[in-house]
Amino acid sequence: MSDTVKVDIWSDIACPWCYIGKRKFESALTSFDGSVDVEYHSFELAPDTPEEVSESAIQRLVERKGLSHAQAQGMIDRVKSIAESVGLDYNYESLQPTNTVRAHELLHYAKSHGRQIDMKERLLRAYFIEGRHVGRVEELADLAAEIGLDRNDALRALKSREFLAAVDADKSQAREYGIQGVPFFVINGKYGISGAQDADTFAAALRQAKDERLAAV
Amino acid sequence: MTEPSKSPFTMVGVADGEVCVDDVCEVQSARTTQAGANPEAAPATETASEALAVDGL
Repeated sequence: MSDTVKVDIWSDIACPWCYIGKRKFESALTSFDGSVDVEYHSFELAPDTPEEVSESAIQRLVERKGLSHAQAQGMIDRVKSIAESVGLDYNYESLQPTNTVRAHELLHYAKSHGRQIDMKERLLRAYFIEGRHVGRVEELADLAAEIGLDRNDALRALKSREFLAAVDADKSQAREYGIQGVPFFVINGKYGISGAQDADTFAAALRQAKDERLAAV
Repeated sequence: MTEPSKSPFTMVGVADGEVCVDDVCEVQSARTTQAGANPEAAPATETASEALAVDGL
């Protein structure tokens, strides 16, 4: 039996805690003395969002949640502050809300080429920090090329919806598991961690999973 | 966040950390009581939730 710890992560792109949780999980990995195999899975928080959204991030909060501008700004400021604490400089002024299903398809495309982790980081950075549009296939193909994938082939896969079924399969698996929110981490198919928890929580669960694997050998 | 009746997992850490549900994300100040030190232990329940909706952004 391998002593590699398998970590399955359900998350979305348009999910501030998913990026923050990614950083906290990565922090745990730096102190973990063992081998880890990470796989991201698709979860759409707002599948009804159109590809093109005319409102800004703060306008969407005001109009869809019935908040005052000050309340919405306060919420954004809090999320930005927490993001900063893990080294992420969220830029809500330039953020472009959009549907993320195509971005998830690109993640599966990248996985088929062994580059899913890099693609996930690139997409999150593009969305939250760089103000890139992660719903348009041409922009997504650009992002694929930026991590060294073949732009034309990525564009072909996106236009043909080659990986849409894989996205749907991830979503179905999440429903079967009862996952209602993200990020959600599953360690060795046994332990569940909900949300962007402290690095110590991730580290302890990784150690426990590794120790169990070793004890079973 | 999971639907407890469906979840096949032993939950670790606080019941729900900082998590997005539907298109709503919450800012929670949660205190980890088990911190995953013993994943077999019951999930922690002491969560001071300050639910601030942030629209899937």
